[in-house]
Amino acid sequence: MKKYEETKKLFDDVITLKEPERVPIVSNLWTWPLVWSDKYPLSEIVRDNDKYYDEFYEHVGNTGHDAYIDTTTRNAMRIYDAIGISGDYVIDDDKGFINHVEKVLLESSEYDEFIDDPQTFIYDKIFTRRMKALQGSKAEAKEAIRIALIEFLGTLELGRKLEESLANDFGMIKAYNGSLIPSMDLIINNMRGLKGTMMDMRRFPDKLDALVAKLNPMNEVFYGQSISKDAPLPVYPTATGLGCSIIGSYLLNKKQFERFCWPEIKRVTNLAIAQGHNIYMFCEGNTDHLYDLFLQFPKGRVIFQFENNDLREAKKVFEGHNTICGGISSSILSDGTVQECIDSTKALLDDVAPGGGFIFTEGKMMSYRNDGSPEKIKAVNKTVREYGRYKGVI
Amino acid sequence: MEKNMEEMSYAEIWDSAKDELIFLEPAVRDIIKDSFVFLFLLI
Repeated sequence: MKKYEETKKLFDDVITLKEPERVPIVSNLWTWPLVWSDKYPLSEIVRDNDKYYDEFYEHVGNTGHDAYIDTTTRNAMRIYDAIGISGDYVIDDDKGFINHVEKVLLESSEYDEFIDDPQTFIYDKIFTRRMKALQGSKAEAKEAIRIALIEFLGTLELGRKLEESLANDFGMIKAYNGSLIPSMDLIINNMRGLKGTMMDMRRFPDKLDALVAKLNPMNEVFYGQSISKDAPLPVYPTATGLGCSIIGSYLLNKKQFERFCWPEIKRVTNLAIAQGHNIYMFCEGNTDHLYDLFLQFPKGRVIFQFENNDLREAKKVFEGHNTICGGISSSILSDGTVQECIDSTKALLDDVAPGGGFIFTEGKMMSYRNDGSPEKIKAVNKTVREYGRYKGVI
Repeated sequence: MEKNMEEMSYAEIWDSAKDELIFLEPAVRDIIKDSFVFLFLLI
C-alpha cells in the first residue's frame, strides 16, 4: 500500500494547493485500453469479463498514470445482450473503435406524461422500447431482467477487482467515489438529444425545468450514499469524494447553464464539500464561458479537468484558487512523433506546472486506436514523472 | 392471492426480478436495481 499512499498524498497536496513532489497524472483512457489487444478482437473483450480485466490492467496499469476515472461504466455489452439492446453502439474490430449512437428516449409530446409519473414512464415506455427482451411475455421479461441484473453485478465485481489490482500493483488511485451526472446532461445526451433540448429550451422552458426537477432525486443513486455523513470510507480512498461530469451541457450558453444545470451542481457539490469531500469536475468540450461560476467554489477543494480550454489561460484564472487538470493536445498525441509528444509535454509543464495546482492528463477522452499509441502515452507519462518533479528540473 | 405475472405492471416485474437475487440483502437489491435503472438512462 506504500505506493498507493504516496499517490494519495500527491493528490491531497495538489488539491490543497501545496506543491506536490511532482505533477500527478490522471488517465483519460476510456475505450482506448481495450483496442490495443494483440490477442482478442474488441467485440470479444467487451463481452468477456476476464479478457476485459486483462486488457484494461495491461493498458491502464502499465502506462505510468497515477489515477483513473473509469473502469467499466462504458460498453457493458454483456448487460446489453441480456436485456436485448442492440444498435446503440457500433463496434469496429479492424479499426479499433466503438461508436455511440445518439438516442432520443423522450419525444417532445411526452413531457407531461414523464413529469406526471417518471418511474412508470421509464418502465413502461422507455425501457420497453429500448430493450427487446421486454417486448415478449412478462415471464420472459422478468427472466431477462434477472439475468441482466446478475450481469450488472458481474460488471461491478470486475470494477472492484480492477480497482484492487491497480491500487496494489501500480499504486493507482480512482479520481472520485460518488458521481453526479447533472440531469441536464442526461437530457441532452440520451433523452432529447442536443437539437431537441435546444428547441425545448425555447419552446417550453418551464417543462424542461420540471423535467430536471423530476430527474434530480433519481440521480442521487450514484452519489447519495458516498457523500452522506455516515458513508463508510472506501477500502481504497479515492482522490476526491465526488465527481461531476459536464458532458453535454457545456454547449449551453452561460445564461442557459445557470438556469438548467448550475443549481443542481451547486446544491450537490455544496453538500459534498460540507461533508468534507473534495470535488472532481470533469468538463468536456470548452467551458471557459463558465469560469465565473466555477470561481464560486471554495478554494482548495476542486479539481477542474478541462478538455478544450486554453490551459495556460486557465492556470492564470485558477491560480491560488483551485487545481486544473489537462494535457497534451489530441492532434499531437495522434499524429506527432514520440519526440514531438515529449517536446509538447515539456513546453506545457514549463508554462503551467510551476507553483503546483496542475494535474496532467491526455487532452481528450481516449477511445480510438488512432488517438495515440501506447508507446507515445508511456513516453509522455515518463516525461511528466521526470520533468514534472518540483524538487529538481522545474 | 399472488398476482398473475402477465397482469403485473413493468415496475412490478422489475421488483420481482430484483427480489430473486436472494444472495443479496434486500436493501442492497434495491440499490442495485435503482442504479441499474438510472444507468440505463445514462448509457
